[in-house]
Amino acid sequence: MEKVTSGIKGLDSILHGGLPKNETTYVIGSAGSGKTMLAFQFLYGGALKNEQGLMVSFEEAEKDLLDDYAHMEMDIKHMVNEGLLTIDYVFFDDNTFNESENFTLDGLMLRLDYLLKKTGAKRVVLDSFKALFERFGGPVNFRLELTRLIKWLKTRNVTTVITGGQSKGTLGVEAYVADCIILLDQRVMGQLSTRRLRVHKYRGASHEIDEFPFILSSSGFVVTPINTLRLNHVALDTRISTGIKALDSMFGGKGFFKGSSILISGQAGCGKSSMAAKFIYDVCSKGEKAMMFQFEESKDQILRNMRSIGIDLKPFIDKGLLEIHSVRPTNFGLEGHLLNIIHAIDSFEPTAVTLDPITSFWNKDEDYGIKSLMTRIIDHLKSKQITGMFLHLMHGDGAFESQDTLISSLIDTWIALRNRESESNRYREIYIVKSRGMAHDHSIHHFEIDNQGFKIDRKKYE
Amino acid sequence: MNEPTSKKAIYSLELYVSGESFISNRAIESVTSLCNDVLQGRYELKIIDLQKDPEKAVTENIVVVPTLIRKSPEPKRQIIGDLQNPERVMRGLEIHRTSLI
Repeated sequence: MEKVTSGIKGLDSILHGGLPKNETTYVIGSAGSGKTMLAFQFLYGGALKNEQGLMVSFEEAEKDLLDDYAHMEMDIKHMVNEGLLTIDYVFFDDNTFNESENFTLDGLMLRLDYLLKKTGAKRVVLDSFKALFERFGGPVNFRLELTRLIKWLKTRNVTTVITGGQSKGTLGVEAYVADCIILLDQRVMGQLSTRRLRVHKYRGASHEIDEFPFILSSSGFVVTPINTLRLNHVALDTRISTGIKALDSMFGGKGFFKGSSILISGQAGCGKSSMAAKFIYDVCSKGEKAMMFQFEESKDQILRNMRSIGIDLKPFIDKGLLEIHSVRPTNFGLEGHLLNIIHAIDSFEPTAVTLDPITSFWNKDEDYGIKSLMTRIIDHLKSKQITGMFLHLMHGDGAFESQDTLISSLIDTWIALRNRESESNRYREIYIVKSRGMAHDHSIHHFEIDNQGFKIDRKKYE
Repeated sequence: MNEPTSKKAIYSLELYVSGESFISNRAIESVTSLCNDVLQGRYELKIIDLQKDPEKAVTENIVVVPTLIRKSPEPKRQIIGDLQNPERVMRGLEIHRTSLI
């Protein structure tokens, strides 16, 4: 089976290559589920390769469609002006009287035939069968007409996407004539809405069978199939500095492995964020890009707090080397967070990423969710050889909590920080819980943070 | 005699069909005979075969065939079906027998 790009990267991997060439794909979903978006991305993906596309719209006029999609990164209007995309609005005249049910879709077919010859279109969209059915449907033979239309399209050497609704959970008979069926779904869980897609059938071709969450952004569908069963990341031998000389020396003088996942755990106020900021500062100082995801503090707060200990991140933002994303954990569902994070990472392509704190997500009664979220983020970072640092806010006095075991297996290097009190003063301690694949320090050390930065006292316990 | 007739509207009709199919031929026959019977000389009927002139499907926004369009008198009226029921065709065209006498 020859496949063509759907115009959506993530969907192509779910489809193991793309949509069936010169066949029909039926995209089913409720109103607002993203059907028309998918259809436009399909046409746009073709137009980018100079393939002519034809959009037959039964719902909206050309101008309205162009207005609706004007905010998108894909420039549909440009493609229309370039003559690579033709929109035919099939308008249903209200002043139409059904004399009988004995009519055929020959009008539409001849119309399509004419437009296909005129434009040389290789990709066609019919949006939507639902509108067509609502206007003309009813008689049993109209379903047969839709079936006849799909079969006719197969003979035209065009790759077709037809959108449709789902009535009472069942697919119309016409859907089964299509070679590929994609279901789009929008559901609400805990007041947060999540979109998912699934390939329901793909005749004669392999594809992923799971449901995949997606979001609709200004770049269209963001869907990331991460198969956690595939553990084929390249493990790099290259090292990346922790940004703190004394800490580097605890890792054999070289720091972390590049592309590894690092957990920094500790109670409030023991220096986790500062350590992360120092790491990021060091990455950016070397002219590489980094990204910070903050779930509790605003960008300005972070910049101010870090400046107070001598870590000025602002110049890196100005130079375009650093992006700080502040977002409330409750803004989206876990899936929404995952996709937003991955989308941001993919568009910025940083060397290192911090998430502060990952604990924010644990309030959401989704134990399974957090593990799966972390697995997928870590997987994604590893596949791109990006070093990921995760900050874990602990509430107790350093005793590990149940969640720790949830994610510790995913982590390559774990640094624990803690506050301690002696009779006369309060101090901080640091030690390495684990660090896979390298020799590392096993002692507990004192450390301090002041406006000069970090001071780790390695002698104290030796 | 001539005067009232000239005041009567002239019906300008267009019938869109596809080739010489059974359903097309049946519609053509039935519209022609209805026009002859009811509109006696006060109509223009154009038959457009979309197989020969497919561009018309775009410009006239045709989806199904047969489609019968009343272009005038305005407003435009459109009827779909194989047009075998003269009463319903007349209803769709808004022709009232009484108004024609």
